[in-house]
Amino acid sequence: MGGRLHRLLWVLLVWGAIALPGAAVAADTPAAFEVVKSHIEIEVEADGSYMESRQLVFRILTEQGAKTLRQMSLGYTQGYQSYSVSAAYTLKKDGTRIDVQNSSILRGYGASTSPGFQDLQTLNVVFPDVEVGDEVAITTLFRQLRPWFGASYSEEFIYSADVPAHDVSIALTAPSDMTFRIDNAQMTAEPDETLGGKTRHVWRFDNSAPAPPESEEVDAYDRSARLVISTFADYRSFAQTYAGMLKDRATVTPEIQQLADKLTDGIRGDREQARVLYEWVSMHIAYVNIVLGAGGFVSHRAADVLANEYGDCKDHVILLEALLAAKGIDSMPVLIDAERRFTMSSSPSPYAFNHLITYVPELHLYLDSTARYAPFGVLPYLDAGKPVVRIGDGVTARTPMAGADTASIHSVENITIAANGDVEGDTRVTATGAPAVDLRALVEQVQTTGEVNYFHQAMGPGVEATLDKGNIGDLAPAYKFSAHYRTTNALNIPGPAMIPFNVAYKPFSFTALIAGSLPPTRTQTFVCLSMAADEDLTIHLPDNVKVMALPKSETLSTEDIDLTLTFTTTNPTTIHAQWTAHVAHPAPTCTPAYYARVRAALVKMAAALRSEILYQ
Amino acid sequence: MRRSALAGIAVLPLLAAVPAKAADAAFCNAPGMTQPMPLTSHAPPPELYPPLSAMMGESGNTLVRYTVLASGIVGDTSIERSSGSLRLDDAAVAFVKAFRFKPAMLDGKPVDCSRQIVIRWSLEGSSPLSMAQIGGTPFYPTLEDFPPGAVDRHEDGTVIAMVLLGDKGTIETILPMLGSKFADLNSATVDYIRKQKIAGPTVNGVPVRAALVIRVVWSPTGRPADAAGDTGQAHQP
Repeated sequence: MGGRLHRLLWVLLVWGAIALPGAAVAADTPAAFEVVKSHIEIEVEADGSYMESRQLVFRILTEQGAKTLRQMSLGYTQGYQSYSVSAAYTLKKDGTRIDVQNSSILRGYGASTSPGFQDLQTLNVVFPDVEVGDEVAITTLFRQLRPWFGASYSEEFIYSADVPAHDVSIALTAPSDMTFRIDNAQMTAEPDETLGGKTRHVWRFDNSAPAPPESEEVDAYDRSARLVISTFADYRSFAQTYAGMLKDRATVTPEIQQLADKLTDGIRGDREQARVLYEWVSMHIAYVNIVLGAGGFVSHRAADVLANEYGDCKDHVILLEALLAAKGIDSMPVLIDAERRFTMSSSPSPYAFNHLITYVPELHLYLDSTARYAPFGVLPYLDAGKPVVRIGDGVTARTPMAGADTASIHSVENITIAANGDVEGDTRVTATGAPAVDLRALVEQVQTTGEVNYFHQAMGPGVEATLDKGNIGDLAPAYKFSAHYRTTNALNIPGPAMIPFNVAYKPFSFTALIAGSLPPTRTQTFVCLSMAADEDLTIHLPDNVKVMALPKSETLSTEDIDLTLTFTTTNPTTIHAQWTAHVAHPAPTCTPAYYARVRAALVKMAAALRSEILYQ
Repeated sequence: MRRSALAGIAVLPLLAAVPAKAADAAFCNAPGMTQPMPLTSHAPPPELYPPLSAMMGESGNTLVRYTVLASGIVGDTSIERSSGSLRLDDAAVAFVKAFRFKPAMLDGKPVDCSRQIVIRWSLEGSSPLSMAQIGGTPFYPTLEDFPPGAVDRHEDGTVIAMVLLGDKGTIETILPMLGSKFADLNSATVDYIRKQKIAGPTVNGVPVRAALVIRVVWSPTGRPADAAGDTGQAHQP
């Protein structure tokens, strides 16, 4: 699973196709590989430790599949787990078997080599001579030497609907008196067998009719075959166990007390004090990007996190908890999925979550200090509207979704077109709520990857632009930034011709916000963001250009979405264009039935957004 | 007997050793019946041995009864005698279900009939290499570490043990998981591990409680040359 960067990019892709064109998942992409065989055998002991073998065979269907499966990475945590490869080979189309040599099984550190994270290990298996049509096979042996959560066992298995899969089986053998909560979607359970005090449970799965992936669809977990197994009776009992593991981690040491006092000196009220402490952790504790679970579940001690000045999500949470506690403010860790899972399993598995954030009960606030750019009280889109387990009280809840009342982008663009067709302009952007988080991250990324490439992708070749990153470093509720740009020969003068709207820099796409990629149909639940967006564009024309026709001003509405387009001329050479969208979905995800109802209206909206100004 | 690289799996076809159940088809050697002819191999392939069973040292014999249908495929199956491992029994049934036959004939017509087969699951002869594949940090005792007389008796083998380390890096518990075929080597392994200095994981330089898999390779010839640098510890590729 990806980490923080992955999460941010995904959001930007959803609503800002302009920002990173061409990177979105293409629907109807043929499967890159198929699962020929997947036999998983698990032997669970009474104390929750377990051994697991996996016999996996994949057939490569495309070049992308070859690229994906040429190397496999197996991660584990030394001291808790062991992993070994007992067989690995490439089976060529002609039946030739090429074994993976020991020298091609590389041991390395895991997600981070930072001190404190060096128990994370990986085995990287490099398969030889992999081509389309070949098979790669691997047999692994895994041991969970000590359960993460007391004497419990939990695992989940997901088979994505878009991957053809055959001969899939999961067999779990455990003491007969061990009780499991099972969440089974689309897998066939065989009758249990019992022998000698052990019971064997078997599930099988076959997917001979894969469904192609759909753009913006929710996580495979929410829509595909899955099997979630847990010995926990419910989420509350799991939360109690986890709380016990984190006990004493958030101890308020003299150093933590001193820092909390210093940061809140002269600041009254729990809310304001919490804000200051949250902002300090967000900005001063470097985030080590390790997905929860891959890096274990127990944080370092708050005092160590403070001394190190870095940590992963659980370290952030534990330090913030200690700082808040130093000022008498209770908080608790909260388990959440920071990808695209929007449903909670009926089997209380810890592995349904990959991230830890903070909940402050007295303020009814969820905080994610690892988001780095999230103002106090604002969650990034991928944390919003998600099911969570609150570790302090065992409550299952849902984070507030980002709605049109809290999430907004306002863009003012002013461009001047010269008589020779050159264009010069400014764009000033103000964002609040979740878009402010992601735009801060986008601008930060643009600075890293290069403004030239970014503006070429957003506005086309020939553009020269500078970006004023604005208040990117603070966590003010509103984020403001601007761009100044110049494009030579952007327009063909004299016309007649159209003025393309990308002569002005726009930080996001109205079409992407309203309609996503607008596929002909949808069969899967998909992510639909809510936001208020408006754009105000003023175009100054040279005297030798006349406006022949303006697009129609109109208001288009459908369920959850209102779009208004206004085009006027204030004088013969000045055009004023406004686009206003109010997208207020009742939930962070939308159903295929909803899409079927509104698609015709979305098509009309998309067409209206493509309208251009005719000049001569 | 066919022996796999990982472990031994043998097959013994039985035609009428066990009386048929009332509901089952007649045995294939019933009077007047032409026995079905196998069209697929009944020799278990090496990969049939479930890796987890090999890892856990599971062995035994599974007696499977199955019906060869008139269509030549295998119909009902039943475990007439378990190996003691449901996993091995399931693997035996999966193997048998893939059989194909020219069906039995009675009075010139293809008919259903019943056969039995014993799948022998044996780990004898499994090589130290396969045990080593379980993983774990390898240790190579010197000749002085061997139990009295073991070297003269040419004893060797690998013992896998789990070691629980306390928060001061001390050894709290040693749990042998998989032994060699020599009891004295197995016993000596615990004492040998206790004498070793084992570096467990640390957090911020402080040892933490941990469980490690230790692989003790008893070899009178000592540490193999190709094990140089194989400490079992992680290193950058």
